[in-house]
Amino acid sequence: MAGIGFELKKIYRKEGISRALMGAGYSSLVTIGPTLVITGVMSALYLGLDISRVSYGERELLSATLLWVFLFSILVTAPFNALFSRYLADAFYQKDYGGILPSFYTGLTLVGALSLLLAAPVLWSLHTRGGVDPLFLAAAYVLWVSAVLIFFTVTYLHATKDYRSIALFFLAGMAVAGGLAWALWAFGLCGTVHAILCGLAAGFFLIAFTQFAYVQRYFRGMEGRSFKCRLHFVRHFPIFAANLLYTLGLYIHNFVFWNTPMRLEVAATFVCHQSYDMASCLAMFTNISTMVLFTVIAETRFHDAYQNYMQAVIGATYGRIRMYKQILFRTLSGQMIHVFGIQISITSVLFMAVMLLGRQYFTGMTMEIYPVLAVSYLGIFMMYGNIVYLYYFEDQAGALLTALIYCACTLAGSLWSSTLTVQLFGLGAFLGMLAGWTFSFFRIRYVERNIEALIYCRHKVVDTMYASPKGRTVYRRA
Amino acid sequence: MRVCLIIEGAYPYVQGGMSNWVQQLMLSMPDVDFVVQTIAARRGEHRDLKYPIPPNCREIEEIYLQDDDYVGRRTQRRLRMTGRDYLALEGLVFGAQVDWDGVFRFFDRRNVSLNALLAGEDFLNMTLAYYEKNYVRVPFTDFLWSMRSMYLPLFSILKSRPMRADFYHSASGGYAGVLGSMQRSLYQKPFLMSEHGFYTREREEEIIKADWVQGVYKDLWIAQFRKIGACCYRYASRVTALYEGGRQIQIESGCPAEKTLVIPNGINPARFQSAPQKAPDDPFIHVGALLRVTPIKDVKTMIRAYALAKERCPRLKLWIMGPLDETPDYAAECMELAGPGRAGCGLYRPRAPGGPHRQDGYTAAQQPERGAAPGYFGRVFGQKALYCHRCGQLPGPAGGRAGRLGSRGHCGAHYGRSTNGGRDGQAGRRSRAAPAHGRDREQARAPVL
Repeated sequence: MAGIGFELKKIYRKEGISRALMGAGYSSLVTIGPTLVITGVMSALYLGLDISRVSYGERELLSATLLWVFLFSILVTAPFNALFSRYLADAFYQKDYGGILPSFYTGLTLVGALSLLLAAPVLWSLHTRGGVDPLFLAAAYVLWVSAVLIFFTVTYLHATKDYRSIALFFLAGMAVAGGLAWALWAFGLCGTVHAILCGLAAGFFLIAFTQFAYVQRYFRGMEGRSFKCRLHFVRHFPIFAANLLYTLGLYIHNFVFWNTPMRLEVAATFVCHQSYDMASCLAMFTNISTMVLFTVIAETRFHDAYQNYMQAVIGATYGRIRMYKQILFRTLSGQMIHVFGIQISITSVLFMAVMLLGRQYFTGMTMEIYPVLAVSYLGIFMMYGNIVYLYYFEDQAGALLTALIYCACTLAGSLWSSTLTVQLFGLGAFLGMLAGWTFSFFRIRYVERNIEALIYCRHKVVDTMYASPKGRTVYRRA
Repeated sequence: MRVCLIIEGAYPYVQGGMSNWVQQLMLSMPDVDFVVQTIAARRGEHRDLKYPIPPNCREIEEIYLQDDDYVGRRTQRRLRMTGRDYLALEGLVFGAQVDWDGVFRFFDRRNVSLNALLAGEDFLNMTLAYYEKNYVRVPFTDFLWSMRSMYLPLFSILKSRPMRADFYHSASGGYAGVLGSMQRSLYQKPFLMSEHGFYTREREEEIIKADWVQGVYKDLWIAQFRKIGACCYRYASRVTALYEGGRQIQIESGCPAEKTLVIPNGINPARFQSAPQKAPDDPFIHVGALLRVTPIKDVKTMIRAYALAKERCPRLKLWIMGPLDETPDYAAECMELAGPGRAGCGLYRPRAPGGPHRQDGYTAAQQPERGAAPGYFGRVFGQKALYCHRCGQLPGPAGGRAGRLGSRGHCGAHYGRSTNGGRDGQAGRRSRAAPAHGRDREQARAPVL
């Protein structure tokens, strides 16, 4: 999200209710806009192309394909995004633009290679064991690779701060996806499932292509042959690991339920648990505004307080440093309560709506699983906010531990909760959230108490060697 | 007997008075084994030996003021101090009274990581406590890092590997003196400190004039050097000065009078009896400058001053004689400044044609309190005029007191006495081995150019 703070500050420079709405809209566009657009187009295609007429097997094959494509593309790219986002923030701060384009290529190569490695066995299994036709496989592969590249490239697009172009790329891509799918279906060139998948693949490919071209064009002229980013990645590996574990934790409870007897197996390859997955999706959407709220608040007020504190550290007396420290942590605790307060209002309304209206659209099991998961996701997103605060304080170890505890507890909890009654299926995610959030909260308290040591004792005074003895004998008579 | 000589920034890499002194000391006592600890700024710089190493010099070890942290990852991560360690360190860095024994033991007992120590929480806490008590108006981060950089060289010295010897002898105070004090404390062996200059005062002057250190940090640096000076005087079994005025300064600086004694530098004039003199028909007035061509000697100012003098007296010729290779860039600039059509003087390496014996007078860019040995050099073998720069405000021996073979003979005698546990009956007075040369003093005062 490198760069979003500048834009938000521009919006909030003037006070007023319209500015507040503008800020919220802007943050929504940046944080969850693409997700909402893609979800909207897919829903429209499902309805428009009358998917209910398609056989159950075909329909589930498409749904499972889309589920796996989106879920795993997020899982693959999220850790890289955190790492590269940090690199970009550092590069912009240090005005070291030479390494940006090389880092972009490095990232694309990494995620591209990883996506190929992951796709190969799945495609092979779909073809040989599931008997899926080559057109479907080709479209699924294009969609998968494009999704991975898009989710990775978005980090660089955010750095350009050209959100209008980002929106345009997504809208154009989704328009192509919708248009092509409809054309293929309407002119009878292929069936509903193939039309939707081919349309989405074409749309995603277009988005990936335009994003790639835009990033290349934007950073052209600044490029050097510097691959310093590799060193950066080694140094900030905990960020990668923390985000990998956090994202894994988001879905690991689903993976657990994918291995229960209630799972659905599609084309002898894909597995899913329809009710649990749908409940997870609903719970996530119920609380997704937490990320918007957090982005707005953290990138504006907290960022200012943090900046003031760091400036005091650089050149002020200890009295002023202490004063700004108090302001910083007062702001932080205020924000935690503020975000939680607003989000709980939003969650309550949405929860009520889902509980009242959901029974008409979703299965009974989904509705039974949903309440615990809705509460869990509220805490999970709050916990992610804490992880971001820990990143601010350069406490990468704290962030990593939080993610590790969260992921491990979610896994263990879900293994246990999968044996309980349906209403308590979400308890694993809840316990993971509780453990992760509690740890992150106390870790922030630890940071608050030891921030001087964390700031002043972090750097080496001299270089370190491991082999040589002290002193050096330059002459010795035998 | 094994004597450990401790030298900072001189032998065997830098030619000059102190290095010559060290070399002659070792050569004159072939029956004594020497090991040399030479303190250099940092590792990795290529340094040529400027002296042939005497056969009785068994080992030369470099010790660095700025070195890497040679420790394992775990050692570097955390340093646990006992209460006594903490108090000793706090006393060293911020206190008025220093528990040097505690400090030495702390560094000797543990493989201390400089990073763990200077970037550790204990150092931060003691710095913060001192800061809040005394310097609340100073930016704290600057203060902390100044403290770290200030104590890094001292801690590097303290964590260096001590050498076993029967006798420790430092050629100066300062870091060399601290290293000697540490080894004296650890091994309970005698420690002699020969002060050629006055380290603490020289550093004080440097700090006062320096641009790189500002404001309150000047006081803190000076306080650190004073603590170091006090440590040296406390642990040294004997402290020598080159002349009586110097001895008085040592006493003023806190050295117990009974530890002090004077051993003047001396030159054997017999070596120069046959040196050729200036040709009688030579129309020029030759002025010889005996110095190392380095910025600290301010050779450029001398060349400019000479140029002014040359305008009034065209017969003048300046000969700058000394090593050019210590700071080649500076020497090249001096060459350029003194080149043809400008000042019109010559720069010569030692033993170059047109050497010291042909001069009409000499100038020695030497602080008087250091004994002005090069000045005597000219003075002894030529009855030449001597102009000695008084860089400081201290009375010194520039006007005389050139001893013959003073340092060598007397130090040897002192090693014997000290290792035998005896006390020098002449302590606090002029050494019998280095008699005053009143006549030389009178002659030297006569013609000044």
